Order: sequence, then C-alpha cells, then structure tokens
Amino acid sequence: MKSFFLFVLVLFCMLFCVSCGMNNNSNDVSDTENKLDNTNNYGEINILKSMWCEWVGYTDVGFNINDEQLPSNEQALVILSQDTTHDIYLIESEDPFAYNIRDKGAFYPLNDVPYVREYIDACFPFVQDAATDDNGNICMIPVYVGVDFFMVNTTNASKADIDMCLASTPTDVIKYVEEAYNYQSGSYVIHLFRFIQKSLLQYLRENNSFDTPEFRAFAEELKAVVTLDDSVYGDANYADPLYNDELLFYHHQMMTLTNIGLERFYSNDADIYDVVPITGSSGSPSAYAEFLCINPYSDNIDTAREFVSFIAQQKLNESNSFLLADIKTYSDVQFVQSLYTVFESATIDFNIPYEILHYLFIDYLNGMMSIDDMISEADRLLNMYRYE
Amino acid sequence: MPSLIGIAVFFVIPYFRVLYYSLIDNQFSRNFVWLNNYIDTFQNEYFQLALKNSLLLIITAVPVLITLALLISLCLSFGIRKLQVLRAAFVLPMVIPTASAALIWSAAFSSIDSVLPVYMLFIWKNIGICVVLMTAAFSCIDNSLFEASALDGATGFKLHIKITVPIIVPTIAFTTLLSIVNSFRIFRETFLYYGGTNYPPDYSYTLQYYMNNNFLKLDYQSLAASSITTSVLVLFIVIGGLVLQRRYSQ
Repeated sequence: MKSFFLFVLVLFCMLFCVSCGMNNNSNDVSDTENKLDNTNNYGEINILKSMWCEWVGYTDVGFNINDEQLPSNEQALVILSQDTTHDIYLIESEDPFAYNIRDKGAFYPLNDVPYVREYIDACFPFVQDAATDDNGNICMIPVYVGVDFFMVNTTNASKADIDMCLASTPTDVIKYVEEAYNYQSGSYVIHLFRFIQKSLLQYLRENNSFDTPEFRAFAEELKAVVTLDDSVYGDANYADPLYNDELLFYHHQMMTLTNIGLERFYSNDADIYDVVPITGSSGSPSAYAEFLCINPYSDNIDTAREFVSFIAQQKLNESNSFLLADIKTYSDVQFVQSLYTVFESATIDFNIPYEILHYLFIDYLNGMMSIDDMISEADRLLNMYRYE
Repeated sequence: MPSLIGIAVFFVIPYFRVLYYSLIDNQFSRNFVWLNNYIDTFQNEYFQLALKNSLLLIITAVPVLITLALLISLCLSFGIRKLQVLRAAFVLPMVIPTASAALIWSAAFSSIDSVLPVYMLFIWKNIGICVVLMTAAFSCIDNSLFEASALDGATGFKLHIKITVPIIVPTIAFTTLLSIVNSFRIFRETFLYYGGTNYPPDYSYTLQYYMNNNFLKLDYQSLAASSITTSVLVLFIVIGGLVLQRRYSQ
C-alpha cells in the first residue's frame, strides 16, 4: 500500500512537471540583462551594442546587453530547448538554420512592435519576403543586407579591351577572367569560395540537380581558370589597388557593416568605376542578410520588443542603407545609384550547409575527384539535405 | 527513492515531453496533429534508409560480436593459455577515447568504400565489455560440474557446447541486449570516422544521423517522432530478448 501511494505521488509530480513545461509561456520582465546571441560576426554585434547603449541612454532604463557568440548547433539547441534566458538572436541568412526559424515558426511575431511594420514596408520587396512568413507574420527585422559584385575600373578595362559590364552569368565572369589574365597576370581578383557559393545558390533557385550541361560547363570552365594564377584566391578588400589603377576588376564582398570600404567611391568624380553584379539566368543577384529576431520564450520580451522597436526606428531614418526601397534616401551620385539598382533586383538566398556541395566543389577544383563523382555525390547530399 | 527521482527528472519527464512534441504541429503554436508526424516520418525515405541501416547493424554485426566474444572468453577461461597474456588487449578498446579510435580507423580504412570498417569499429569497441562479462560468467561455474561431466565422458569442444555455454545463456542474452542497445549509439564513432560530416555515405546513414540533422534544421516534430519510434523499437527488442531468455531458462 505504501509503495502504491509512493508511485501515485511520483506520477502526480511527473504529470505536474510535464504540464508546467507545456504551459511555459512566461513573459515576465524581471531580469536587468538582455542576452543577444549571434553565430558569427563581431562587427555587427559591436554596432548593435553601440546602438543598444544609445538606446539605454535615451530611455535610462538601466538595462545591460550581454552578447554571446554561439556555434550553429548550440544556437539551434537554445532555440529548440526554449531557453528563456536568451532574448534576441542576430541571425545570418548564411546560417543553415536561418530559413527554418521562419519555416518552423521559431520566432516571436513582431507585427505589433512599434515602427517594425513601417520599417518592413519601407524595405526592398526581397527583404520583406525574407522577413515575413506565409501567414504575414514578421519574424525578424533586417539590420544589414549585402550583395557581392565586381568593382570594375572602366578606364583600365577599356584599355585592355575588356567589357566586363556585359557579364551577367558566372560563366561570363570566367570568360572575362581569362581575358584579363591574357592581358596581364594579376590584374583581377576573385574570392573563389564566395564566387562558387553565390553561383551555386543562384543555380539552385531553378535547378534540383547538378547533372546539367549548364553546371558541367561552369565547373569545367572554372577549373581551367583556377590553375592560371593565385588571383582567384582573393579574400580581402581590394578597393585601394583598384582606386590606384592597379587592377581591372575585383570581387567585392559586401559582407560586413564595418568593412564596406567603398565610401571613397561615393562621389561624382568616381564615375570611372562600375558595379557589375552576377545576376545569373534569373536576373537577380544573390543577397546575404542579417536579421534580429526575438526568442518567443524570452523572459524579457518587453525589453526585447523595445530594443527591436528602437532599431527599426533608427533604420527607418538611415541613408544609403541598401535596405530601404525609397530612392530619396540615397545619395544621387552615380556609384550609389548603381548600387541601388543592384540591390533593388536582389534575392536573399538562405544557405545550404557547405558540406553539401562547396567542399566537394573545392575537392574537384583541386583535382581530388572527377566531375562525374562530384556531381553524383553532390546530388546525393542535396537530396538527403532537402528530403530527410 | 533518490534514484527514482533522478530517473523521473532526467529521463521520464523529458520522455513524456518529447512524446507530447511528437503529437503537435509545432512547439511554438502547439496544435495537436496526433499521429501525422509519425506518418510523415515513416513515409520519409531517409528515415526508412536510416532504420534499415540501424537494423542491418543489429542483424549482422551483433551476432559476429557475440560469437567472437564467446570464443575469446572460452579460450581465456579454458583453452589457450597464451591468450591470457593478451587479455588486456581485448579490454584496451574500452579505454581508448572514441575520437582516437575513430582517427586510427579512418587512417587505416579510408580507402575502403564500404560499411565494413564501421562494423569492425563497432565490434572492436564493444568486444571488451562482452568478453569481460562472459569470462566472469564462466568463472562462476562450479568446478564440480566439469568433473561430473568428465566422468560422464564429455570433454573438450563437446563439453563446452553441451554444458558450459548453456549455463551462461542468461549472460549471453544480457550481453546481446547490451550490444543491441550500444549499436543504436554508433553515431559518435561513425560521425568521427567520416570526418565530422552530417551526411555520411548512404550505407552508414543511421537513425542518429536522421535525428541529429532534423535537430539542426529545427524540425523538432520529426526529431520527436523518430526518437519515440526508436525508443519503442529498443523497448520491443529488450522485451523480446527478455521473454526469449526467460523461456529458454525454463
């Protein structure tokens, strides 16, 4: 009899704990510290921290920000475990789980947060699409968007008889790289890894398999180019050499807020420089974005809402943000207008894990596997990733 | 009582929560969809592949492991004296860190495009505990039983087949169950063997990969449904094993 009562007691405790867990939707504002998670970038987090400090200065509420950099798997664990101690996430479109935050509803809807609706409505349509789910819920607010493009010194390029501005597909770029190499070795720079990444994300918008003549041609032509010289392995900002007439063109990555490095071109004297995006057959360059989203289980929902509202308000008043669709918020210099045209037509591509294709592609370029092996393995991994 | 509380807090309550998550559409909106997640999971071709590979490991590698462990234990207990010198070698895989073992295995067998190295790694890692358990069981057999058997004319191989092995059937059954449960935990070894990728060759894609990948995709419902399915599968195997053991003992 005693053991029966003990069993009933334990069962009751278990059911109580389970039901508590099922109804855990606390929105209490009790802590004096908000936790902001990010998976990669220090630059962005510092800018957001400074905006936070500015906000705290305005509101005088006495809150602190505690940023924490987490690997993707730990960030996924925080989200899935409904950890109430994390308040805001800084998510990159290149995080493999970024798309699923929207797709699986793992966000706090921001529709009624002041200034957020106005901000999202003011953004480019492609940014709105990425920030809103199928039911019209605003799942995150964009804080940064970037597009890779080629910066061309048109004066130098015309001397070399290279009309880079006509390039639109990755295969076109490869053709111009060959021409530039024939003109002068080292007169161009490509960031190979990102060139592959962006080209493949564009390709996957319209294709479900890599076993196509288009992909084979791209892979084989790129392999021929990577053996020419080391100019395909550029990974820095080459604005200086281009400005000093040392280059015909270079691959510019608009990856971080702090490393744009293009301000020098923001004048009408800089009309000898042109911006060439890789649009692919869809006519739309691949964009990268960073978003803030609120943990739906945060203990500090109210403060997190206030912070997001503040960021949205600030972003609404930014000039040359490349997030807002209103052209009046941009300088009227030619370079900025060209960039505006590039961003206007962009699409945010949520990344697939690098191990699905990128690493295989690099192995193929390094001669470690044949094109047929690379294609069949990439198709297998892509299907597994998409359908498991 | 303390262990009951520990099991309840760390195993039973989380299990019921996972069961609950497997019956809803989303852990954020929480609408009941009952068995839809299970139907989707069972219809998923990669879940089927993972289940097939996990069962194949049990069907092929576990019998080999148990047979080898039994032979080695017999030799250690009754047979070749020289093998006793190697006793430590059979236990060594248990104390070698998994990462080191996987690294050695990967270096040795990277050119083999087959599931065989993973099976061999599983056998190598688990044979130590099986040998220890079986040798302990053999050492508990009363010597008078052997003397009586010898008087009846049973010696050598016949003695072990007819007398020794049947006596330790409960231990063999327990070791088999332990190995089956361990076979569901082969993920760590496989993950490291294939260089830390979440997408191994099809033949090595087991249930843990399916669950781990769905976890990284924030697909809690697939994860929960497949976890519950796996736990039920393990439960059935354990109950089946215990029933067989009891029937054989009677």
